[in-house]
Amino acid sequence: MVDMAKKRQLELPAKAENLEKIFDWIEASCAAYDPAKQFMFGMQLVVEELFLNVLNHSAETASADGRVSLTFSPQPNGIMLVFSDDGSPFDPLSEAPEPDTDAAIEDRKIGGLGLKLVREIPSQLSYNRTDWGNQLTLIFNEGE
Amino acid sequence: MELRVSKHNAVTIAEVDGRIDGMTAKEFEEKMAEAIPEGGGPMVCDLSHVSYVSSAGLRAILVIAKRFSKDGNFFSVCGHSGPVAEVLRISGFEKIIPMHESRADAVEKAEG
Repeated sequence: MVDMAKKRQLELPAKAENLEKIFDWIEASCAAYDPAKQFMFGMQLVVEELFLNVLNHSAETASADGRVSLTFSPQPNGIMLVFSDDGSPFDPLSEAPEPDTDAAIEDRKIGGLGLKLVREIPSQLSYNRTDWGNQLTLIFNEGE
Repeated sequence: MELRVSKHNAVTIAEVDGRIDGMTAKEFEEKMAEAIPEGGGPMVCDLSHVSYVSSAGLRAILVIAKRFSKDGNFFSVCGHSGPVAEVLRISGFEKIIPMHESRADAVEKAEG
């Protein structure tokens, strides 16, 4: 049975030094719920990419007091991870250009790969704009 | 993240240990740049002991690979497996950087 008691939440300032806290929180969440362990790498990766994206975006808009929130919830068919930030509207699924992964090394752009990994690694993902901000819902399961 | 640099005949081997993420990628890139042999020569980056690579790490690998490509020197990656190999595959790096499963193969190619 799915143990809903394993649901965990984290909210903290969108500051670069908090990346390590986020990694530790994901590791602890997976350690507390066995079926999640196999997805730990993917969860850390996708959340790192989203978090660094928020930091870059808030640097551009000079908003220094942003916050991010994470929710880890066991589901019957895997793990649901919700990543939210209270910044200006940004949908990383539709607004990010697809990097050209066929380009020759001289032409290959430095960057742009992070959001490609966000789109490819989870089994499912969706974007919502809520009252609080941007919300990405990520599902990790063995289905795909 | 640790980087151990050694030589196998003319080939420089940079063996990475740990995670190449948003916190360590800059240090990784700096240490790799320092390890580039003066006056050219081939280099192999061994990722056998790397458990995690994010786009920050990919960016650093790409910066180094571009330098070798520009100078006409050989650079390859070896030893990657599991989720690290998956990240490299999604990023299409096997199309721009030679990749080898084993260090022995990578060194042989680098010497060739």
